[in-house]
Amino acid sequence: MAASTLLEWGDELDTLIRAGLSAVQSGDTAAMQQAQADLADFVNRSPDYADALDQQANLAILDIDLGGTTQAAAGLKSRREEVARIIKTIGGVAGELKKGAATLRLDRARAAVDLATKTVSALKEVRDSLKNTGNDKAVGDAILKAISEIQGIRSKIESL
Amino acid sequence: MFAVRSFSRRVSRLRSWRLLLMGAASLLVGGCAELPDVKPFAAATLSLEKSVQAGFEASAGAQEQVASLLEVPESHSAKAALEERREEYLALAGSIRTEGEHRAALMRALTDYTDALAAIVDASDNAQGNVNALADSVVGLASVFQASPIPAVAGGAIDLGKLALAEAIKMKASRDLRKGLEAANPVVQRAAELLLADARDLHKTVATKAHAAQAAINLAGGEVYTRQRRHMGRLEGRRVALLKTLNDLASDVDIETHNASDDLLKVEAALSAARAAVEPIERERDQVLGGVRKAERLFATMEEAVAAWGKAHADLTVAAREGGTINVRRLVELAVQAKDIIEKMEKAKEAKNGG
Repeated sequence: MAASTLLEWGDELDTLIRAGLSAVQSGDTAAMQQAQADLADFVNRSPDYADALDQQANLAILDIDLGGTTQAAAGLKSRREEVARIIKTIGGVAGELKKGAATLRLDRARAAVDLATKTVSALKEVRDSLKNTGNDKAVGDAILKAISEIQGIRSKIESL
Repeated sequence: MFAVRSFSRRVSRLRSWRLLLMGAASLLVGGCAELPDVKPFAAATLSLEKSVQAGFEASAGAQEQVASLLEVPESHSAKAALEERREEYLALAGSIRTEGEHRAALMRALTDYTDALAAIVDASDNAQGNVNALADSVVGLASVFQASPIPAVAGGAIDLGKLALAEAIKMKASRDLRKGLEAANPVVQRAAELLLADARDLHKTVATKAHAAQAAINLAGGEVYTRQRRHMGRLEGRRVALLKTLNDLASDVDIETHNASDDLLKVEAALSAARAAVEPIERERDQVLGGVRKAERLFATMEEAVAAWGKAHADLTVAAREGGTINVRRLVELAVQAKDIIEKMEKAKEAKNGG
């Protein structure tokens, strides 16, 4: 039977708000939508003298939305820590892969050979500028020894 | 040039290279497996990244839109109640954006991982070029020592070495890729599950917004607006009843029909006036509803993107585990290449012995 007094309209609203609260507590989105639809229907049907009840019905519609959205936002937040762990793990795998890719590109081997080439050139330039007497000779001999050692490294690279 | 102290040592090395070739032959069989194509996964990751970013932004935006509907002047009778809820909507928008930033960090890490996979494949694809560059560097180093030019026999050995090294690189690339994919796959699949749960939660953040948007304008518009809408509802009911009456009377032109037509015209005019009065308020609500519909489409796209992304990675892992497809044409090319090099080395050796 349709409500005819303000009290009856109030009782109907109370029932609808309780249904809305129950829907939010259950986390059932379809039930929340239905509760909102019932409250919206209440606002459309209620007489002009029930404006105060309409305001409560409209606030309840908002509260159902806020309740459902708050639950969903909490769901998003609950996964944050696991997301952080995944970022760390996947970062580790990516780091290993990048290291592997650098090795595969022979980056280090090429850099070592290029450095050795530059070093030998520089040492030879210094040695050529030295005299063959006294301290200069000693330094020159040391440079020759250094070049010889680099020669050894080069031989090893050749035999790789 | 490679500094080789004596010819006998060169020949000895040549023997070593021949032995190496035997080893290289078995290496080539294993090394001719093609690496799986990582491009579909890279494309799926890019698509997912955009989708995740847009999804979180749409959800936060929907909260802000409802909040904006609740902005009312200080004099509004329900100011306190509306302000309290407006702040709650804004706080929710902030919370959703914060989570969006965490997911953006996840997507950056996953993009970085995808780039690393591509780097392995790239190193494999360019293995021969990289080996040649290394060999050039070694020759450059040799020239600094002012050694004599590389003899033909040693040149052949270098060619063979380059071939074997390039294939060894491809084999290692294949192993590295497989190991990387297998280590990451459980994590990637878990990330897909989390992102799917995110998409569903994001959908929930807008699922009850349509009625909320109407309630917000009811409240912000106050009693005048609510009564106007109720009046419109009654007019709409009267209009439907009049149309039915006219339909029932069919084409009989009598006084009743005339009266019903007059009434209908009056009802239509009153409805137009009422619609004009509420139109500016309802335009704001329609904007929110438009945003909600757009967001719902985005979340559906996000769910599809997550599913496609997880599957792309699983497929890639299976392809890498199975060693990819054996490239028979490349295997034959390598065998012919190796045979040519051996023949050239034999000829060079004979020429040296004869000379």
